Formats: sequence, structure tokens, C-alpha cells
Amino acid sequence: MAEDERQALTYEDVKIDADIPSWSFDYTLPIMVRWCAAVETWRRDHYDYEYAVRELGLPNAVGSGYWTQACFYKVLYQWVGDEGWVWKVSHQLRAHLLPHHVFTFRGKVTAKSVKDGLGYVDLDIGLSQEDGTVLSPGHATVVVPLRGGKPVPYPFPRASMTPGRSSAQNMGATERRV
Amino acid sequence: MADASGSLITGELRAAIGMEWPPITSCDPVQSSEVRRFTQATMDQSRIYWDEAYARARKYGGLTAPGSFPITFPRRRAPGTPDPVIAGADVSEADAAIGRSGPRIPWPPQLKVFHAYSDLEVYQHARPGEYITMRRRIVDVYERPGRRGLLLFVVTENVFTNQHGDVLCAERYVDVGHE
Repeated sequence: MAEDERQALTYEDVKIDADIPSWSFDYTLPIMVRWCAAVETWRRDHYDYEYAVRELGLPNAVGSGYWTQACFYKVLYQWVGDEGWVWKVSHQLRAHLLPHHVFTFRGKVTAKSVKDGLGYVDLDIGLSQEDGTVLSPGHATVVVPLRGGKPVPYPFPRASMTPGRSSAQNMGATERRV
Repeated sequence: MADASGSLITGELRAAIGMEWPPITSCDPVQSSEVRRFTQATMDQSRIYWDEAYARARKYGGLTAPGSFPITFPRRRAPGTPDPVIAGADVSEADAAIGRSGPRIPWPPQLKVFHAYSDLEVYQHARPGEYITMRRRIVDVYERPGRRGLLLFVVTENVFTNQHGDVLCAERYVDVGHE
């Protein structure tokens, strides 16, 4: 279905525990290199096999965290559509992104609420590979209109970033502060 | 190796909390060709990024760029600056290239450093023609035990604006270092 023919997602359409459309593909070195070229990153571990293996002791070149973030944004944006807004995307890089795996980006609705006439939807998101290993877990919050309600404002109002630690980094063990 | 107290947090690193880098403004304005390359790299065919008539009819009023596009854009190397490829940049040197100028994070030299976490908040999309400025500061340093020893985390907060001062997005970015 063409984008402009697609029914806009509304708050009422969203069900808790529902999965959003996932996205799977073969993750390859050309995909990794294309990202590096597109954003002009020169971290050699992202594209230089010999450097990654010999100098850093990695099993291969490793994918970029910013690529993962951009892909999460894409998957979420394509779900909410132009009438919604992808507000927050948090992700943790738990394992190296290595080529020659089938990657899948997923999202599952965990909570929803209405505030000031807008629908706020929280999701668990994740990037996993074909053996079930979760490479990058995370959280997201998107904003969608209520059915027949006001549009989601654009630009989306800015609040200060939630104080304290990253929501993604809180998915871990005890830490020692400075 | 951790110091005598067992900590990886050096005095230099502790003193770096609150450190700000000079703002970095993209050397070029956002161009539709850059957006095209970015969206091809994420296999994103959304029409707001390439179909002018479609985008103009939406809330954006014209072509736009993905929400995380501003994060990498100001870091592109400006003409006349040192070439990290010719210099054979390693990971830490690439980090300096991200800053393009100003201080470096004083990581203990024995650590290997990787991107660990990121929190992104998006308020509006960048548009072709906009210059993007990144403001970056260290907001936290901490450590945790890992499976093979201590892990050291450095948290930076990065805010991205266009030339009108509009905040496009902000992120809390966490690097981890381990021996």
C-alpha cells in the first residue's frame, strides 16, 4: 500500500503487548561499509577487517551503534506514519554487530496513556540475530493522535532530557559512582 | 590496569565531568543527496525524504531528513582539516575526529572503547539547506564490574540545533571502555 493511502495510526489502534511490524534482512559487510560512507565515519573497526581482528582482537569488523539507532527510528517512524511522532529512542549495544547474520528489528507495545489530548505509547524495542541473540535491546516512546483528535504538534515540544542516567544504561548491574 | 584503589576513574577523568567541547557546525548545509545516502544506508524509502510534493503536503512543508540524521552530520570532516584515513586513525583517534577540535576524553590508554548506550529525543527533522551545530559535554563518569573486569563508562550529552537555534534532537551518549 502506498504511504499516502495508508490509514494513519491512532491511539485507539494501539494494543498493549502487540508487536509492531518487524524488519529482517541479511546483514553484510557492504551494508556496514555503505553506512560508513554515508555518514563519513572513519572508525576503522566499522569497516577494516584486518584492523578489527589483528589490532582489536575482534572476530570481524563490527557495525555502528548509530546505524542501529537510525534503523530503530526508521522502523518506528514507518509504524506511526507521518501523523505520529517518534519522540524517544534508547538502545543499548549489548553485543557486537557482526556481518553474515540475519538481523531483525522488532518492537512491542508495553504501555499507552493519554496526556493533553495526545496518545503516548511506550515500546520495548530490539535488534536480534537469527539464533535469538539480542544484540541491542532498548525502549522507545512514540506519540500518536487520538481518533478524531488534535494533530501531534510539529515541532514536537522540547522538555529537558530526563535527568539522571540513560534509560538504556539502567538495564544492568550495580555501578560505582565517581 | 586499575589504579591502587582498584578504580579505572583517574583524577583527570573525574576532573573532565562538566567539560564542554567548542560547538561544531557542519561544514556544509544539509543536502538532499546526503539525506539520500543516509536513507539508502538504512534502507528507508519513506517519501518525506525524497518526494518533494508528498513532503510539502505533510506537516514538514517540504523535504526533510530522518530524526537521527543531525547526530552524524556535523561530524563530517571539513575541507582543509587533517585526514584521519591517511593518518591511519585508530578507535581513539577517530573519537578525536568526532570532536574535530577541542579536548579529548582522557580515557586510560589501556582501555578499548566502544559505544554502549544512547538515548535519543527528537523534536523536529532537519531540512535541506540547514546548517547543524552540535554542542557536547561530559555529564557523568562511572564504572561497573563486568565479566572480565571493570568497565568504565563516560556519558556525554549532545544537543543539535539548526542555524535558527531550533533544537532538532538531543542525545545522551555512553561509551564504555574495558581492558
